[in-house]
Order: sequence, then C-alpha cells, then structure tokens
Amino acid sequence: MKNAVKAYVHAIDSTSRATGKLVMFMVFGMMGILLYESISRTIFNKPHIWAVEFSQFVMAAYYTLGGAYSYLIEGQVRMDIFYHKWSPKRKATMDVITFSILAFYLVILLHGAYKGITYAIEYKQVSYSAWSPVLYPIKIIMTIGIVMMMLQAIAEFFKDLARARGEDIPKEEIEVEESK
Amino acid sequence: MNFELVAVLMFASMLAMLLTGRHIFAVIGGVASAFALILWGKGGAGLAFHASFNLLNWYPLLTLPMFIYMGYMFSKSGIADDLYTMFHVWMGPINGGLAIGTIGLMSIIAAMNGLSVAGMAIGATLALPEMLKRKYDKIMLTGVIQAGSSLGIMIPPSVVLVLYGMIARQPIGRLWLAGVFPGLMLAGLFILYILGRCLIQPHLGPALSKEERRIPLKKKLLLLRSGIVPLFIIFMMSGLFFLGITSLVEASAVGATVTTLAAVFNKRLTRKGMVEVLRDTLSVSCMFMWVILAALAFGAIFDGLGAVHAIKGLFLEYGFGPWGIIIMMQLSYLLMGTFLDDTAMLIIVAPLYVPLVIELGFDPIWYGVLYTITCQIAYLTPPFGYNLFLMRAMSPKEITLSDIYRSIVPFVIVMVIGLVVVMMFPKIALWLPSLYYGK
Repeated sequence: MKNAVKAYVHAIDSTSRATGKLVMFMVFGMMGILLYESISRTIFNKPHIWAVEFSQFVMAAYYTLGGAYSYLIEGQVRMDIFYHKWSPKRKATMDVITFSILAFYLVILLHGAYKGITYAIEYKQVSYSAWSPVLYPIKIIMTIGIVMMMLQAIAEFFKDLARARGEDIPKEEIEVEESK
Repeated sequence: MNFELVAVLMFASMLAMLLTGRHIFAVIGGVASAFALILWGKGGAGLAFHASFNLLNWYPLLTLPMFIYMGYMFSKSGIADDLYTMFHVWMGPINGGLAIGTIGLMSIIAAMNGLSVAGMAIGATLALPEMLKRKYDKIMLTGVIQAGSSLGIMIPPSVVLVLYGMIARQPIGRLWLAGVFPGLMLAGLFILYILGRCLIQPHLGPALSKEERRIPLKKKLLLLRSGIVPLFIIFMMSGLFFLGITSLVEASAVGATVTTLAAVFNKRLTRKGMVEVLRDTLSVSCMFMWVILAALAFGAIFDGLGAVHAIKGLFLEYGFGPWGIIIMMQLSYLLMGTFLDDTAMLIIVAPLYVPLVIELGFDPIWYGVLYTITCQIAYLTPPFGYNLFLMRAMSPKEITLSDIYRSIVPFVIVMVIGLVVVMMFPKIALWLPSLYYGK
C-alpha cells in the first residue's frame, strides 16, 4: 500500500475503533432510561412522555455510530456458502469487485439522509408523539454513522485491494485490552 | 412493470449477489436502492434512508439490544453452569440423559432470552465438551444443541414474535403466551426423539458410569437450588410484563439489569468479561439493525408496488383453498429460509402474507406461532442459517461442517411434525392467551 493510503486506513480504523468502544456503553444508557422510567412510573406513579422515544434515539445512535466498528471487526454477516472455502486472496478479489454494491447503497443512503436533514430543518419537522421532539439532531447523528460506515468501507476496500495483490494484511483481531 | 416480474428480478439479483459473499445488509440494501431508482427515478432515491428512518416508529425494537446484551451477560454469569450441573446429575443416569438435560437447559435459557445466540453459546461451550467426553454420538449432540437453542425464539420472551407483532400489529403479550405450549411441545418432541433413539441405539448416549452416579441424595437436592436464580429472572422479566406492571421494553431492560446483578453476585463478572459482553452486544445489534434497515427498504418497494394485492391474486388465481394458501406460504418460507437471512425474510415477506391470512379468517396470533416454528427450521437449514456460523465458530475442532449439516436432519423432521400439529390443533397455541387475556 502507498503511504498515503496506509495513513488513511490507519486513521479510519482507529477512529472507528475508538467510536465503537465509546458507543458500546450506550446500551447502559438505554437500559438506564427504561429502568428509571419503569421505576418512576410503577412505584412513584410519575410517567415521563419522553422516556421511550428518547431511548429509541439512543438506540438509533447506537447502531448507526457502531456500524463502522462492527464492519471493522467482521461483525456483519455474510452468506458464506462459497466464500468460506476460498483462499484469502480470492476472498479479497471478490470483495474488491462487490465493494461497488456496498458503495452504491451507502451513496443512496447518504443522498436520502442529506435530503432528510434539509427537510427536517426547513420545516422544523417534529415526531408525531406527545413529546414531539425536533427530528434533525437524530437525523444528523444517523448521517454521521452512515458517513463513518462509508469511510470504513473504503478503508476495507484498500485493504482488500492490497490483499488481492498478495500483500498480507491481517483481519482486525477481535481482542480486548485488559486496561479498557 | 408488473409486480411478479419485479419481485422475481429482485429476488434473483439478490440471491446472485449474496452468493459472492458480500455482506448481507449491503446486498439487500443495494438491490433495493437500485430497483427504487429504476422504478421511480429520482423520486425513489430517498427511499432507502426514509425506510430506515421509519424504524424509529418501531419502539418494541428496543428489546433487541436488550435481549442480545442479556444473552451474552447470561452466558458469562455462571448461572448456566450451575443449571447444567443440576441436569447432569439428575438426568445423567439414563441413556441419552445428558442430551435430554441439555434440551431442558435450553428450554430454561429460552425462557430467559429472546434469541437463540445465548443457548447456542452455552450449549457449544458447556454441554458439548461434557457430552463428547462421555462418548455421546457427536452428530446427535450437535443436532441437540442446534435444535435446543432454536427454542430461544419460541418460548417467551421472543424477539422474532416481537418483530412479527410489529409487522402484523398484534399484541406482543398474546403472541408470547401463544408461544409457551408450542415451545414446550417442541422441547417434548425433541426429548421423545432422543429417548427413542437411545432406546434402540444405546451407544449413541451412554448413561453415566456407576462411580459418576454415586452422589448423595442430599447433594442432589441441594443442586436444585440452581433453579432459583432463573426463576427469579423469569419472574422479574416476563412475570412483571404479563402482570401488566412493566411495559414490553421496560421488561427487557429489567431483565438485562437483573441478569447483570446475578452475574455480579455470582462473582463471575470480570472487567474483561464486561467489555466482551458490551463489544459483542454492539457487534450483533449492529448486524441485525443494518440488515433490518436494508430489508425495510426492500419491503418498501413491494409496498409501493401494491404487492399485497398481487400476492393475493397470485394465490387465488391458482385456485388454492384457504388451507392450501397457508401451506403454500409455509413452504415458501421454508424454501426462502434456507437461502435468506431469517430476519430479512420476516421483514420482507410477512407484511405481504399477514393481511391475506387475516382476510382468510385465520387467527394472526396462531399464524405468528406457525411463522416462528418455520423460522426455527429456517434457522437450522443450510446453506444459510445463523446456527452454522455460530456452531462453526464455537464448537470444538472435531465437529466438522458436514457433521453440523447431517446432525440437523432428524430434528428438522421433528420440527416439521410439530409445525403440522400446531396447524391442525390451533388450540395448542391459542389456549393460554385466551385463558389469560380472554377472547
């Protein structure tokens, strides 16, 4: 790999990894809100109109922002009936070719996201609920997640390109440091 | 373009691209986006994002990350180890007893979790090595673990029934209760199969040796205590939900919290283990969610084409009666389930079938149970099934891929029998919800 490409891949990998390690704690956020709500509602008889919807926003942030990390650690599932039998080089070559469909999907998603955000801001779009929060912040967060997924997909594309040419680049090890 | 042609083209191009090994979410989303552009031009460009944003209307989906977290936490908590020891000691003395105990263990795990992953992880790491050590037939026990873990989506809580409930607009509580007896019945059928098989061929599951059986009764009785924690978790989660105290999503959060506490009290939870649970939860949640996002876009196209009417026309045109249609639907699920991701299949196909099922006068709750059994079968059958990935990743080296493939055959047959029984006797599913909630 060229140095500039190497730097790009390194930068994106570490960004996705850092984001993933932060985002994974959001599951406690969802749990906390829902638990707080169930106690507040059942024991103190004080329901909150924002609880479920807000935890949904946390969930949307959770899986969109975590997407790039899951992609990096091979968490996304493939139908590998043939794929798992291939050599690493063959796998990489195929991934280079089929990168186009992923890129196409992400571009379309981004295009829609851009339109969705401008619409949400222009018309001050709110959700149909008693709480009726404005929707553009969550749309922006989701869009950031899609952009990160795109950057990660490009990084993986570079890695596969190098592997297809015979360079030996290991897949991201799924390992946890004791310190974290 | 007419619907049939578009549908065939979409499925064919999806299948072709799935075979390349590209990630499933990318293939489904890419095909959907491409067809949206072809069919509706510029107007279709926003469809993919719009469909994924609609996911926010589905608040019960909050249970998904909760149950995934709970499953991983559960397998780290040590609760399963104690349970396994209990079944080991109590069931070990009979032929095939450890396999039967494993089905029992899986049923209890299924009552604490809405997915199959936890059961599979515990089965492959805990029960499998023990049974191999005791000379159980490796093909039979590989099947036992896969079939047993599939109970996770039938016995409440169940994420599949949550998804179905959202699509069919049916109350989740009723669906979950409807899953109780069919789930137990399937577990019973598995046990019958194991008993029968080991009666004819005792070498497949030898009973524990005399030395191993010599355990004082007092100790044996004390082992039963390991059932207390699971009962407590089940009560806090499903119990409070069915009593109407907690809502669905709250119940899942309560379950996740209680499981975490149990792990802490068992002193099994290390910092490293915690980070692993969080990482795996994120990874699996993201996988499911991105597949669901893409499948929603795929389904939105069918919706835009008026596919519900087309499907109805298609079925009626060929002159199937109501039962013929139900059987055709189940067959088509089974066929698609072998190639397609189960979650994606549910989201794409269920919205097309459910309105027709209701129109034909069938009970949508009952149909949800049928659907879930079909999902269980689809989950087992190659070439595509999550169990294949999991089993290959988790099981010991001596279990080969062909062992995994071969092991499921008898269990799939048993499950098809179960499916037919529930079709013929809808009461098995519907009795409990109508008893509890009234007609």
